[in-house]
Amino acid sequence: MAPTRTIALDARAVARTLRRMADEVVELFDGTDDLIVVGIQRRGVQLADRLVEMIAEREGVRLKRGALDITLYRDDLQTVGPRPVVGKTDLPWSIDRQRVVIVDDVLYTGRTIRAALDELADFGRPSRIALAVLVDRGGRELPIHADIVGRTMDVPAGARVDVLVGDLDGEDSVVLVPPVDA
Amino acid sequence: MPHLLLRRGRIVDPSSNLDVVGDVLVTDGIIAHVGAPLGDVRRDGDLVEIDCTGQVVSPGFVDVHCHLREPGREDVETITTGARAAAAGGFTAVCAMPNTDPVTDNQAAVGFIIRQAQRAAAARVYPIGAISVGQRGEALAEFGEMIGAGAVAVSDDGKPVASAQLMRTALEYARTFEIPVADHCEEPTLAAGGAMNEGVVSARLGLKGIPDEAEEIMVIRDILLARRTGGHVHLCHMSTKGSVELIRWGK
Amino acid sequence: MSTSADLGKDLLGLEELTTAQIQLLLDVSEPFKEISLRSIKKVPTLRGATVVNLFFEASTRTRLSFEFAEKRLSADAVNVASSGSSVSKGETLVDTARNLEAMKIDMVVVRHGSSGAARFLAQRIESNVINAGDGMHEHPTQGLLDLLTLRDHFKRLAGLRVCICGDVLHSRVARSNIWGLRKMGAEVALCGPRSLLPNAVEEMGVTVFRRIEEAIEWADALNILRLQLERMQGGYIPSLREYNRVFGVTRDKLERAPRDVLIMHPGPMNRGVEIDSDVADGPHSVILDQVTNGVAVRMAVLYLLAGGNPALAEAAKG
Repeated sequence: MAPTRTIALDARAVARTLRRMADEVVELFDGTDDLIVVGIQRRGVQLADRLVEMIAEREGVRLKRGALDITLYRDDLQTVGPRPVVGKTDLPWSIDRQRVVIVDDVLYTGRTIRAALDELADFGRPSRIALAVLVDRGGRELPIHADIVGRTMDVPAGARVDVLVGDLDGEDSVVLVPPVDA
Repeated sequence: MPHLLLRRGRIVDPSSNLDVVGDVLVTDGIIAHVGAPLGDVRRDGDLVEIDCTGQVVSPGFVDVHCHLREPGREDVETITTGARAAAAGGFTAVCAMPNTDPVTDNQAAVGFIIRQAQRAAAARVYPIGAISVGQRGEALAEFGEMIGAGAVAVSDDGKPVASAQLMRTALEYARTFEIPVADHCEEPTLAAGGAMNEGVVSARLGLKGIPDEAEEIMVIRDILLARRTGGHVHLCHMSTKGSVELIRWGK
Repeated sequence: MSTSADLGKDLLGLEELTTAQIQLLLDVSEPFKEISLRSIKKVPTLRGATVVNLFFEASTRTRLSFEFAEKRLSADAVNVASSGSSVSKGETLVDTARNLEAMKIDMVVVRHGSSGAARFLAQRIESNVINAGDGMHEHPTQGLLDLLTLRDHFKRLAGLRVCICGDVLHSRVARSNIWGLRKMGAEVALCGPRSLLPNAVEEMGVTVFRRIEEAIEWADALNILRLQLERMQGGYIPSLREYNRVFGVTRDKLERAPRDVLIMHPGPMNRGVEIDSDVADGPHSVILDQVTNGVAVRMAVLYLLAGGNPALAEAAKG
């Protein structure tokens, strides 16, 4: 039996949340100087685009947007094997002494962010790195926390949080999918 | 010697055009009866009776082309293991090719094989002597001496007789002893380095192929030389359609 | 979808791969191009994995390309160069393989002069085996990098007309190209002296051109094979001078083509024999792009074959 999907955030709620996050990014960095927004493939990149857009509307400054694919930095290759889809990493500028905000859709175990920090370190030495996520679902396995959180949700292990974004999925939303055997 | 009664076997003997289910009786080492089922056989002395239901009973097979590898490659096969394997498979006689190390190209080497075969006491072994000394394709080996020691034919098997002149001489000389000259038909320059038959499979696998013509050129050469000399040529391990057609023409 | 299962344990040739597998290898090669453009050209993906480059034949380009790929994925790469010995090659290979296994390795990249050597090895060891060229049989990573280079340039492979020129008979590159291109829907032709084309090669689904001028007129791309200089001693062709005259790809011959023809060469080149310098260095040559793509393709192969349990990969997707 297919699990019942619940819409946690609809398109309007996602937009509202992102607008707040955009403001918080600017506040956190006290402006936009030397600030680079880096999305994690794939949906983090779309969310990063939205944040850049919203910051441009409010601040009149279009920030650089990079993309990180962390597949090659995963710590589970030897146990789970390779993933067939490796996305593009796109950081064509020096990030030395820059300020970087990493954007991802869902923060869960923290392992993706660990990999992203490792990958960023191979590109340079930013003066500060912050993390912005649309959903923090708890369940951390590493000492990692987000600086800016769209929504905090208490989601049981085994359940899934799917973030859908317009460019890839048709419409923005956040969907909860309960565990299959629930 | 015990008498032997083989019951209810499928008796196959092409030489007498026989293929029936029935009995075979051997008394004092001589086949006394072949064919119809026998009733009770009187037991005068020892009689061993074997139920051959579902088995084939036939005259012993003869393999005219085998390699017993002794002397030289006893790690692969010896005269004893080869003769035993032959007997286990229904072969009562085998001819041993001379590409041993050293080559079976003289009287003493032939005698060695005969003695080893006697010791093995399995299938009969008929040695084949080399055509040329050391199978080097240069000088004729001593056919007469080897035949005297028990060889039944000559061959440089494992290698072709590359020289047409040597093949001609061998065929002529072998007539004296009325023995066949067995040739490994492979034109050496066409076959050089080859690993398999040449065709789409060799193209695909990237293996050097051996074209059919490597065999057929030697087949037609040997047929023409046999015609010229009146010698008895035996063409070993034929493998191409063209060879079969050439042999048909030759006969 | 678990990729280990998709590719199996080894990469031995393109003949045995499906179109989908080749597509996957090419697609996964794309993101690896970028890693070689970074200032720190290294990702930690294969950290802790031991890869042995076992080369029984001399090789500079292929071995270096594999070594770069391995090092950029953080694998520990060890080179073993072994020339042929008096012992028959099969026996040497088995013994070498057993010794390697005893030292607990993860992958072997093997180059050997005998066709079938890579498969022979793969069947006898547990480690992943990548064929870096076996005799006259296959050179799958070269085939893949040629496909990637063609796809980069034409944005497609289906319907493309590619002519492989030269000594196809002795070429593992040619065979891998024929399989790879045909599976991806390209049309393949061969052109060279008949003494250097395998018998019955037409049955592999290729067209044969007798004259290089016809091939140039037909093709979108030429993949020009190296003419091994020892072929002349082998009596396959009378002289290099005549080879260049009749089969060499020259600017003069290309200028008569109805359209621009892409020029590829797996290297190393014999300038002035199978290819003239002004063609090799000309505007339509992608010979160095092939070399660049070689590293990305080999990283993709190493990545996709690397360790792991396919069943867990499936579970981890959720």
